[in-house]
Amino acid sequence: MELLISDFISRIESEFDDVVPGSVKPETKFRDHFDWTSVNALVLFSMINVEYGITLTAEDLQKSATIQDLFNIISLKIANG
Amino acid sequence: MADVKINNTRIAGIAACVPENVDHIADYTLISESERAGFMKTVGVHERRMVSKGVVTSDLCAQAAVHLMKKLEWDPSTINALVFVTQTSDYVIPSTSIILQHRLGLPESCMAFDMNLGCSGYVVGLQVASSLINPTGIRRVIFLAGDVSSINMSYHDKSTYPLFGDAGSATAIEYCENAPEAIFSTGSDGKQFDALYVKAGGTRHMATAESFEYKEYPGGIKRNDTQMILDGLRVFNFSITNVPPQIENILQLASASVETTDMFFLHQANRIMVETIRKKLRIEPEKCPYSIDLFGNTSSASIPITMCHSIGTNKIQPSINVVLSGFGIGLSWASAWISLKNALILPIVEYHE
Repeated sequence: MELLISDFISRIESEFDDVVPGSVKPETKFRDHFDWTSVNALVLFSMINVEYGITLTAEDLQKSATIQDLFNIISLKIANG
Repeated sequence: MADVKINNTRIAGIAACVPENVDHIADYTLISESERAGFMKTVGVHERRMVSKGVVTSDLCAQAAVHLMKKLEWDPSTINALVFVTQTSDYVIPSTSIILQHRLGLPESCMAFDMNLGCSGYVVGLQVASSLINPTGIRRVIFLAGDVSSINMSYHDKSTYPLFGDAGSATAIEYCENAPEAIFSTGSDGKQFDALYVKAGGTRHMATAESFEYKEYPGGIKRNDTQMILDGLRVFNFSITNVPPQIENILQLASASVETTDMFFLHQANRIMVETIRKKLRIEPEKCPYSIDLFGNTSSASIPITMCHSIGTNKIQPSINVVLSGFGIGLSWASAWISLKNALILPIVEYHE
């Protein structure tokens, strides 16, 4: 399965009720764009685990600012098996 | 993982008891209205039961046990062992189960001991209690599980305070020749003990006056060292990583599948954690009931609370096969594949002094 950031963005937009569809871009800073709380972090972790089989860590989250950063971590973890 | 098969025992019945007092998350004004809405939707707790001052776990469990023995028409004199899983015992010593032997009118010949476990405690306790059963000795066991977690929470800690509820449960287990085989699998990860723990009050960090002083932590959290610390992301990652393969292992050992198993009763840690596990295992939503919306995370009582809440009736169950799974504090995780054929799973009762 080819990894596409557009699919990742669609999945994020469908998970978060307060996000306007089409408003999320790769360069979007997710902490500013969402009503960001630790509970929303769980929503993100859950979606990534179910859809991509990847477990993000708190450190992964800390070093990410944008949607592209998160996608890069997912891509790297999938590539590294 | 330690996998165990147990034969010739059956669950005769399960009862659960909660305090009357309902606490609504909508009233938790320490966090904003939008945070409360997000918490209720994602974590799943809308309300929970909290004990009145002076009511403790053994009170809830004792009422559940008396109710269950009465409904099963089990004379207390026929009970050979009492096992109590709790992290909120009456005293530091002795085991609360021994006090309960007298309170419940069980014979002095009864074996009684406590087990200090939380989220995984129902499944581990059920395995231990079932493994005591012996045709010539211990034929009947009362297994109690519960916690009054509300006593360990800081109101000023939004990561723990709105999550937990108080509850107690009682499960009756007895010798039954040719009963369907029960299968258990357990795991322990002590390197992550500090992901969910209470620091002070044991012997490593004995409680002093300083233990009760409130300290500030990131996110506006305030708590003292006798109150629970929860690293939610670590527990979340631990659970979604370890629980699905353990349940797959249990199903394989039972020569069963998600499709052939009637129901899955998962520890009500928080809704999104359970949903993640459910989706990974491709379990249909109707096979995986919840109780967290009304009762919160009730620690070791959450599996029996969910059973009594979703399938509780005053009639015996048909032949249904279920998976149970508990995971969290320890960190520890345990799953079981059991039959509830002819078991009496009673509706939840409220505690009355």
